[in-house]
Amino acid sequence: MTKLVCPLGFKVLGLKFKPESSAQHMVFVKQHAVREKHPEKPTDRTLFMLNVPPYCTEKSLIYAWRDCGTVKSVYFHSRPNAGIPSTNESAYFPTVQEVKGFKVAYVVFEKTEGLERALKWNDQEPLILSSSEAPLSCGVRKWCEDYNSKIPNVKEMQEDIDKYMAVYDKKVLLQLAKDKEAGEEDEDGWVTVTKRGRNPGFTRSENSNKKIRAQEDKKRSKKQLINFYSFQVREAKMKSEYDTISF
Amino acid sequence: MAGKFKKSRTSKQQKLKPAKKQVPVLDDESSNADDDEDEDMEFGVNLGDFVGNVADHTKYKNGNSHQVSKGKKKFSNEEDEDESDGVDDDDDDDDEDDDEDDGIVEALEDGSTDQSTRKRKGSETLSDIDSTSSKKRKKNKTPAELQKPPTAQEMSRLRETENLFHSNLFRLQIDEMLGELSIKKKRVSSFSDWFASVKQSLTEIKEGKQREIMDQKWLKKIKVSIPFVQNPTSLKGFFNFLPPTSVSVIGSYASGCSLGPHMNVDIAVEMPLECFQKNDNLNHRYHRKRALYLCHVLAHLRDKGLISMSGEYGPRFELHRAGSPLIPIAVVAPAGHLEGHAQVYLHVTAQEGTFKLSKLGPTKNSVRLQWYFSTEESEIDSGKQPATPLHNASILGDLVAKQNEALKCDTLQDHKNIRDGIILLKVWLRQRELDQGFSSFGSYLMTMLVVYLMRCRKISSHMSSYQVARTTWNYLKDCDWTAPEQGITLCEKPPEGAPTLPEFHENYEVVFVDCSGYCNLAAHVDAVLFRRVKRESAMAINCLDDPSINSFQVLFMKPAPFFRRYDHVLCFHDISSLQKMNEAVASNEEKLDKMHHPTYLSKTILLKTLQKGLSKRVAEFGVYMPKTTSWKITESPLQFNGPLLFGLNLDSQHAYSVLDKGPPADSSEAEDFRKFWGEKSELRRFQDGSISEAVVWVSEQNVTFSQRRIVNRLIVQYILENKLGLNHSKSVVYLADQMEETLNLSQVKPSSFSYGSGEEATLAVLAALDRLSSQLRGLTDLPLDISSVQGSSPVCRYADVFPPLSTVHQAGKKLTKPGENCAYLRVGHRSTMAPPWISPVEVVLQLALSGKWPDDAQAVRRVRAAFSIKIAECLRAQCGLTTQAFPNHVDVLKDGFVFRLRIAYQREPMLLRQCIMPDGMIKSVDCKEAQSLERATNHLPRLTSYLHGLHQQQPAFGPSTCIAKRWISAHMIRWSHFPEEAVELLMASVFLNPEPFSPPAQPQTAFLRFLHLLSTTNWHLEPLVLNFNNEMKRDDVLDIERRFSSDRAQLPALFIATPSDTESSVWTKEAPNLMILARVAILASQSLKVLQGCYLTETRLQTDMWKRVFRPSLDSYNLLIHLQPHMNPRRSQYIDAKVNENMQLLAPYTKVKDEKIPVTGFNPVQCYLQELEDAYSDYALFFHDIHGGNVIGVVWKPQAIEPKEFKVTHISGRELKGSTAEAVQLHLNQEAIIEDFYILGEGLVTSIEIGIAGGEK
Repeated sequence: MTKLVCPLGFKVLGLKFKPESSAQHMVFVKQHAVREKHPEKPTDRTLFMLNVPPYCTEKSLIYAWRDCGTVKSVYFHSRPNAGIPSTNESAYFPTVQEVKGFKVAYVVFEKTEGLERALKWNDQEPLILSSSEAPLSCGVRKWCEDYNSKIPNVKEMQEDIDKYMAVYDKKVLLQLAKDKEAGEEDEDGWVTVTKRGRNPGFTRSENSNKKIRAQEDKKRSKKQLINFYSFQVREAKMKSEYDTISF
Repeated sequence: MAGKFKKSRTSKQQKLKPAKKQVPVLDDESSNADDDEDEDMEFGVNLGDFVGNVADHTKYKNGNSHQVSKGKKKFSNEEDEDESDGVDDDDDDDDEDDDEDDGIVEALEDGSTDQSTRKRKGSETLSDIDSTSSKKRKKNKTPAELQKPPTAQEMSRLRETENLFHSNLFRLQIDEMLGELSIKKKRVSSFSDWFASVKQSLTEIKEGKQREIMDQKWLKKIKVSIPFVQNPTSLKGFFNFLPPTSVSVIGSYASGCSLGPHMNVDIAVEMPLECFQKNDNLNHRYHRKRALYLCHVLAHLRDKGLISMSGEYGPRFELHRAGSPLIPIAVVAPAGHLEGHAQVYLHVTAQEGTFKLSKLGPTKNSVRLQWYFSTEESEIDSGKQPATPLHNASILGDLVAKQNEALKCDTLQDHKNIRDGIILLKVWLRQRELDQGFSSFGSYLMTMLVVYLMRCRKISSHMSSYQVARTTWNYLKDCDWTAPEQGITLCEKPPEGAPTLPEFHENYEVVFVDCSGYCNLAAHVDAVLFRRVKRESAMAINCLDDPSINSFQVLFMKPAPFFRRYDHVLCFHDISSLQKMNEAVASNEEKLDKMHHPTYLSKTILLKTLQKGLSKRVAEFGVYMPKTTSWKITESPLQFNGPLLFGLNLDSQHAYSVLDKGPPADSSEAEDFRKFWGEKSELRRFQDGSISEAVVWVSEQNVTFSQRRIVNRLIVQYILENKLGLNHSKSVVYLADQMEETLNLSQVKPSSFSYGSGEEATLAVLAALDRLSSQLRGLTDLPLDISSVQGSSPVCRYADVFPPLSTVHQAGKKLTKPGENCAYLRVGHRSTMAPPWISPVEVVLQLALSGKWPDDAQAVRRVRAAFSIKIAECLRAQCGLTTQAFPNHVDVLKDGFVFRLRIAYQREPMLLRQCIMPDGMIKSVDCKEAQSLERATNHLPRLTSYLHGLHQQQPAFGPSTCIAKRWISAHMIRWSHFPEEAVELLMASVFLNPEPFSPPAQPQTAFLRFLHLLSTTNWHLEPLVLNFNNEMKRDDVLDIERRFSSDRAQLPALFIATPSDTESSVWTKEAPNLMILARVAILASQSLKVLQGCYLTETRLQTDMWKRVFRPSLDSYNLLIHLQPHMNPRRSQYIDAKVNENMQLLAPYTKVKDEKIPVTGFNPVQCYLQELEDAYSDYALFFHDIHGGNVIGVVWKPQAIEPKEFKVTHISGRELKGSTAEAVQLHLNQEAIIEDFYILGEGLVTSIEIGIAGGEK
């Protein structure tokens, strides 16, 4: 590979799936540096990687950088992001989709040296994601595993649900109590109108807002004088005639 | 009134342009000829092309939108002008219109220009107009002028429209069409110049020598061969050429109702009386002299240089359009610049009084038996010469032509409205192919009918063109010229000795006597054709009365060719075997009268026998006579060699029964019945106790729907072989169910029923679902009852190409291992084969109403899951079924099928959309999750119930949809490109909006119409409105159309509205896009062409011919990913999969101990495609045939291949190239991505091949 001059201060590295693979992807790496800092992505220990291929997993990146030092954590995003990705609360009811396609990775090393060594990586030497000792499962094997893992253990699932619902019920009760409290007069004599209570208010949603606006407009239009002045009468007449002829 | 006007105004604006765009392409052949070059390419619909076409298409689209907006602009302009300057200005405007239209017409007609230039040409003229119109607008628009009250003229025109025309829009469309069909003035004048010189030259023509008729050596000298099959050859008599007594323009051009813009003019050259001797009306003598005369005239015109001799316009002979081979005519083009624009038909007629008309009455004989069969006089009693009505009519036609012509011109003169009405009727005839070929209901007959109606005051001279057409249809609908005494006559006072109506009826099937009282104008029309005309007329009236049909389009714009009209088609390609049949079966009388036209004779014989044999099973017969093609004047006359086609439309009440019940055994008809059916007939006792003769075609046991649909074929086979002595396998091709073969199974067969085209299997699934549903509703321990159970898989709409089959499933073999309730896949060893394909049947459950559902989407999800667990438990405990709960659904094994139950909660999509703003306001934000949930739980069950209902009414819907789906997927288009629901809805439209046909009863016909729909509809301008069960009112439909035209840009490329979804077109929102739609259209038109070619040319239909349409072309892909066949669980569904001779019998389902739910819905190929799509959809498109396709086609997206500048957002999937920091660019790393394809498809992909289209890059 010829030496490439890369703009924006990136370092270009090759990335292969297996040592014996013929083609390689080009990953672009540099030290993570942004204005808004996040404690989980310390700038002095975090490596910023672009163009990470779709099949790359956390494990395979840890394996790929094993020579530079221990990797503490790896975060994937679909585009550069200073924060950390949110995680799924429950295995059965995922709320976060896995990042698909080519992605951006943040590799956080245990020590600063890890990052330094990574940045000095010989760019003639490609990174290797998978080998016989740390295989990355792909293809038929992966799909079979996926299929099997999707069949849930019903008992565990029930427990998971019960746990969530208990928390949720508590939250609802709390909200109820809060609403009730708000419904009482406070020190200054103010009462917050809620959905519950003796005089329930309407939901604060876009739709209800719209409805109220429309009602008000209607009321206002009633107060206006139409066809009152003689020029208004004339114009209205002309307009109605025009409508009649232009079929 | 104001409101009404306003409404129609908007609709006019929407439709004005579309109507204008679609010039009725009347001459089907010429339009076909344009595309002939491409035919060799067959499916070479290049993807490269087609990616390229995207640009083209968008151009097209722009062009269209441009056109639409222009239509509006121009319209308002025109209207404004009306207001300001009165009607006078109208004319200018119209002229301009005409110019522009000619541009379009020419562009459409010009065969040599290819499509792209055509478009360009169109758009150029349009932009020209646009600029002029905007100029005009600047000139004279002030608000005051705009609001002037209407003038008296305008008001009267408005009132007139209201009274005389169907609607405003209809009037505009008619005017537009008539304008396009009119002939340019300058051509008319240059034609009359030419005609004058022809006339002059013909009167100066020299007298010829007297010769024997059979002495035809002089023809060789003038290099014309006689356009007449001279059989028998010997004939006595003399012929000498004398100059014509008159030369005149006749026919539609003379009466001013010909169809333009191409000129077709008939010229009659009248033979003088002296050319004939006494008794020349006998034994073809008249006809041979006539033919010789024509040759002479033609040679003269050629020698004078009056007719064009250049290649395609050179003079040719043709058969008289409504006549017989006895009266040939010549087709010439005027020399000079009219050459390509006009065609002249030279007729030879005889002077009035040449023969006594009474000699040629319907009961008379004019071909002598002894001459025709060259037998000895003594053998035949010369007193009993049989009548030759057809032969007589062919001579009479020439003799009375002048008289009728005069009457016609006299009646139609000064009534442009009536003439316009006739043009409308002619367009209508032409689109239905009713005026094509020998023995057709020609336009001459139609014109004479209008003349008749005018004379009997059914049409008044004040009627509008629309009213003329409508009255004529109304008349045709109710009249019957076939019944005795019901025929009509133009002759008010029949001369003495003229034949009576009963005499006519005895000798002709259909009777319409001309003004002389001797000639039957409808001599060649048979009762079958007449009934078809009647039926079509009734349909036309229905269309006009039904406000939900766009009647103008249906009546005048949409062609209705033979192939797509009939359910079953019989093709007789082998004319020689028919000749033999004629010889053997026809009586002497028939031979005498009809043998000169052998195909016509065969038709008469076949039709008579088929009608008797099929009787009630067929609702409508149709006959397609071979088209009369023209031939060069130096060649010998053409024999009839095209195929003779019969079309049958099934009567749904009788056509599917497997036996024909005859008369009771003791009745007198029984003998007849037995005689006709021979040994096929047997005595049977029926359930009602009667004993009758009957014919059994298929044994009632295990008869499939597809077999029932083609019982007719068995009958036809029997009749042909036993009654007419035709070998059916050699002489006839029966087109009905060939394409259903694509739905057959290749490897296994079910044990409890025969498979056929899969409808029985679908019914088995639905029966199992019914049983499951009653079990579900009977569950007791549930917190909420189950209120409804609805299937939502395609199989529940009869639209699954391969419905699931019930069998006993055994887990724990090599590939799977048993779990608690389910089978798991074995992962450990390198698997070499995918487990058998089992597709789950999706079912949506509705629970009883409750107010206790949580108000949070995540919580609702968990409550649903909890319900799933509970239902699974209950089904296991109470019904003994094997179940497995999942977070989102429950899988149930019932009767050998896997059902996937999903619980639907109405408010969930709403909750998913809810999002709380920082200020506490609740806002609704649309999200994909909510949309797909709504589709699955709300729209899909509703669609299923609509289509299920449609199938109940139209039992051909299911299998047709399956063929259509199979076809789409066979061309490697995936459901993600073209949703299967969209295919189903498109097919539904074939059944719901069948006009101008009746709904099809045979899937194959439905499929052809489906292809036609795809290939011709411009979805950019037309929404597809499906009014299931007529749930939508007229106003709703108008609303949809209005919204469609105003919001076109925001709506999906293919817009489908159903009663439950009038606004958003849920099924086509994400796909298909414009590119796929264009590709499907190209594929459809190519397929249609191949199939029609099969119909017309193939004498022996190999199954291969049909399958060609289902084989994809792999030329257009950049990459081809070949898959491991054993990893594809649906491999046996492949179109060319080997058919296993001894099909394996599927073990019937029985409940075994330790039953596990088998591995369901696991298809490695789909998993692979999903991963590819997820990761690389930005760079490439992936194509694959879901029904067992073994290859994935990849096309790079053009914009992805382009080099990009270095940016963080561009980096993904690309590599850096370039030497200096400034010049570096990002290129798509194709090599690495191909490597990725291998990596992701480990164990599935065998090789990746660079395709033909990929080589260029």
